[in-house]
Amino acid sequence: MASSDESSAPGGLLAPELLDDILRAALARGAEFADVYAEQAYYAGVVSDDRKITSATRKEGGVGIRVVKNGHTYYALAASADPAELVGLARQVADAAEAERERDVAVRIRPAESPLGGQFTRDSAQVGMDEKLAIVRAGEELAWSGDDRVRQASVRFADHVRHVQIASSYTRTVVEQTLGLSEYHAVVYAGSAGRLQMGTAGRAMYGGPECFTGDDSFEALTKRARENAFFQLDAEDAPRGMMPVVFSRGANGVLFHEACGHGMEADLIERGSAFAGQLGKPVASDLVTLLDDGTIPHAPGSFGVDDEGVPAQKTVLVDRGVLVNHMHSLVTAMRASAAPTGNGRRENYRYPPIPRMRNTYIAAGESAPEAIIAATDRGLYAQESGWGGQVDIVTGQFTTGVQVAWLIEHGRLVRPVRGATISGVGIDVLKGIDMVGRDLEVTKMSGRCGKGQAVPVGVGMPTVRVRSVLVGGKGDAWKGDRT
Amino acid sequence: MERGSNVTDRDFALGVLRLAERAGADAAEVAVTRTASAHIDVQRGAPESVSTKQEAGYGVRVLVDRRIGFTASNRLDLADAEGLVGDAVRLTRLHTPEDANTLPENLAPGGWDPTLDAYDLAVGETPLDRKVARAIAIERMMLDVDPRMKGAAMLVYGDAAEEMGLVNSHGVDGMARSTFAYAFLWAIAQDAGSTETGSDVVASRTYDGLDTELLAHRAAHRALRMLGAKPGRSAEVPVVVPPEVGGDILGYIARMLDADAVQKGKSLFAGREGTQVAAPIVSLVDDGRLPGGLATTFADGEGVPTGRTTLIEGGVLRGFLHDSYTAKKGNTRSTGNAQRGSYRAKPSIGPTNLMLLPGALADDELIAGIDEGLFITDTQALHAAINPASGDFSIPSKGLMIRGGELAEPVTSLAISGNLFDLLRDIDALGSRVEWTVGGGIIGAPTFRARKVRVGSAG
Repeated sequence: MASSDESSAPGGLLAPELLDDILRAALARGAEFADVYAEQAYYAGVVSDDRKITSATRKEGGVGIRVVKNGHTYYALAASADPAELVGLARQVADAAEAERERDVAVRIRPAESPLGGQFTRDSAQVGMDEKLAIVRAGEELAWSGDDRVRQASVRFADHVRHVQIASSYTRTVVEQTLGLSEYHAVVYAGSAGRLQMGTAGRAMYGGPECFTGDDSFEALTKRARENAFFQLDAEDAPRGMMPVVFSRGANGVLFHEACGHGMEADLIERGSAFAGQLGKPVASDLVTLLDDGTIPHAPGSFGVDDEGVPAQKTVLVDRGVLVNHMHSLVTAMRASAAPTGNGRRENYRYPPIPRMRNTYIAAGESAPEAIIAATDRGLYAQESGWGGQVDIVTGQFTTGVQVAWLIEHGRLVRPVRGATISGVGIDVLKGIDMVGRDLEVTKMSGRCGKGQAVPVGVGMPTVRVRSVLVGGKGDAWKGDRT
Repeated sequence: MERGSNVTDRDFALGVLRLAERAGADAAEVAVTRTASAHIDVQRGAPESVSTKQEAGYGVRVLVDRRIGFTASNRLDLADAEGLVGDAVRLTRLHTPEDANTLPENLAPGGWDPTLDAYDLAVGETPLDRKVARAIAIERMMLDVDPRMKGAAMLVYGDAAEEMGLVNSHGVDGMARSTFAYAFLWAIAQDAGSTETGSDVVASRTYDGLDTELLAHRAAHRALRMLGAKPGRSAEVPVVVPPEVGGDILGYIARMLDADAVQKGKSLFAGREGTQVAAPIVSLVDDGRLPGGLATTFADGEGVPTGRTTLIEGGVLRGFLHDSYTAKKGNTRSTGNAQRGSYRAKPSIGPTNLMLLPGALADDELIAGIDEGLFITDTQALHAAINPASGDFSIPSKGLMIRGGELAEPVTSLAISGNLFDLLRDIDALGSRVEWTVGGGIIGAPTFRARKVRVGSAG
């Protein structure tokens, strides 16, 4: 904890007395609660593109002040550590909220420990630039090696360390947390005979390079990006139409992130998501248990406390087919008279917190993964997920992509296909799940989830079969069972 | 925005420039950006969230032994900058050297023409509560369009006023100011068991120029026309694509016309200059000087004066979007397309005001000749549905069927598939009315017709 008698604590964060003053000014005109989010961050990345290595760094910090009045959020920020400026800014936010009904609140905060302590902290500085350069050089070499179909490769390693301090009149505490995320991403372009395809693979995790092991090693990811590109060169176009789809474990969990995760975020429930009014009701096949978990070590959606100072937790959203929980921030929990779930997240000090997913996954079932394919007469096997997705939360219609897929015939993977997009209505897909594998994997996805603000998230699933879902491909219309 | 801040910012920028040179940079470039922005999110007649931001920061590029590096910070403090820039110079020495690495000469010795700045004081000075009231009024207008309008899944008003000062060691020394206001509405319509959404975005360089009434009506209309939509049928049919859909798709074509992607072999347009890549009626231009354009500026993010670049003319590939690096590499001149999203980002290539030039037909004439076809009203997740390398796409879509030359019933749960390069060749008619969209860049397009696209369906 900061013990300095200066207004600016050692990490560039704020002294407790100043935090009290800011909160007092923020609450001076009445409010449910106020919080202060101070951050100092350092970002560094190394990229190899076109066999040229470059780096970029960024140092950024600031203070966001939030006043919640009548459940409405008023927010402003400053990049300053100057006490007079910060207290003045807090008064301005209070003024902006003045239009709301008056209430009287006064608080005094006390220090609190981040419940997971140093789990997400790395000592001192980040990985040195020399080490980053070595990682990227090795990736570059492997990406280009020994295959004349490689047309271009881009390999990136980046990390950041964010020191944050959250002082809240709601929790009446000030918590400090250090978050150090590392990310590796490889993109390989492969070509032959006037064709060009792109393969990608990447991971992000809290911790340093030592965490990138096994299937998540830099080498394995680079190879996968290459293989994904080569695969698409050789594959035929995916068919189009409704068909059974078997999703392989891991990153295909982005399907559930889009198909139902967003619709279970409480602010989107309030806005009329397809999952509104469904608590306690069946929204999925009884084979489906869906969780959102902020406590998985190193996973990109994990943390000690969320960005409102609420401890991370493992939240069951769907229990054997029944919707049992939404994902809440403090504001949505207040309005719904529900308990906060630790889903109040922000990209950084520049944004107020809103309900966001953490690591969202389908729990393991009982089927052997190979038995799920074997039990499928005709359909699609979605092996490697593509480039994200999107959802219309009101209608529940969502889209995700697949870079590597196979046609299934008589329980076997028979032909590679490329360019499949998967779309449908979330609840239909959840209800259409008829087999769930026992091979759960939570993937430490690289990239970010965007909802006005970009935050790292994890996704996961075991091998799962959906009875019928719309596959959009460039190929012929699917005849499927009708042949 | 603080008065007189630009003088201080210019002094600061020149100070950082000197620090970089003293640290060993052969040349450097400093951009200082100062932004005041507001973001208002409205739900059910009340402000759900009101954010205001006053921000300033700088980005530095250093050129060291044919290598180029970048660093950025939002702490406008010379003592702090000294350490940051010193580190950047040291790191940059570890980069791969390349002859094309460069910072531009000063191509505007007379200074930057401020008349191209669109700066409306009202954007920054209008009191926050009036902006909130204006945003709330959008919801009211949308609900008043029709009793079947039920609300907004999202309604956002936002604005920004920005000043950017840019200096480099070769004499670039300019300042640009701009303002921007926008509003986004995602409206919900409901009737007899059918729920549909319709969205729209409007943007303007001025506060009063923002047409919030148009926004409310268009979003409502787009939701209402989809009520009762049912899954369509798999088919291969002509499609008619309005600007709000076509503009986003053109954004992906623009990325393939980025000279950096072309030179690095990431774009299939590589090596096809001077050849027919689109139907003869297709002409695509980028114009950073377009009068009144939302992206119009005097100079780009490197200080190179903007201009008009013909990318495709009569279906023939004529050029690419360049910055100083790709221009030097390709032995040509920068087209002034280096973009700087914020002080945090190093400049990279992007379109300014990108436009598919219009044809002569009214929108209903585009439809009149089609016996059975699809008018696309909405697409989803283009980033996941378009392969930026092959150009293959399979885009989940909604639309209105075209029957006997007229718009007919709404259809949903479709995926239209094809290839962007084929789509460019298949465009067989262009509307006469250009509309500008801001979803995937500042892109102007008329409604266009493509003779054939594959449609997959959940029906």
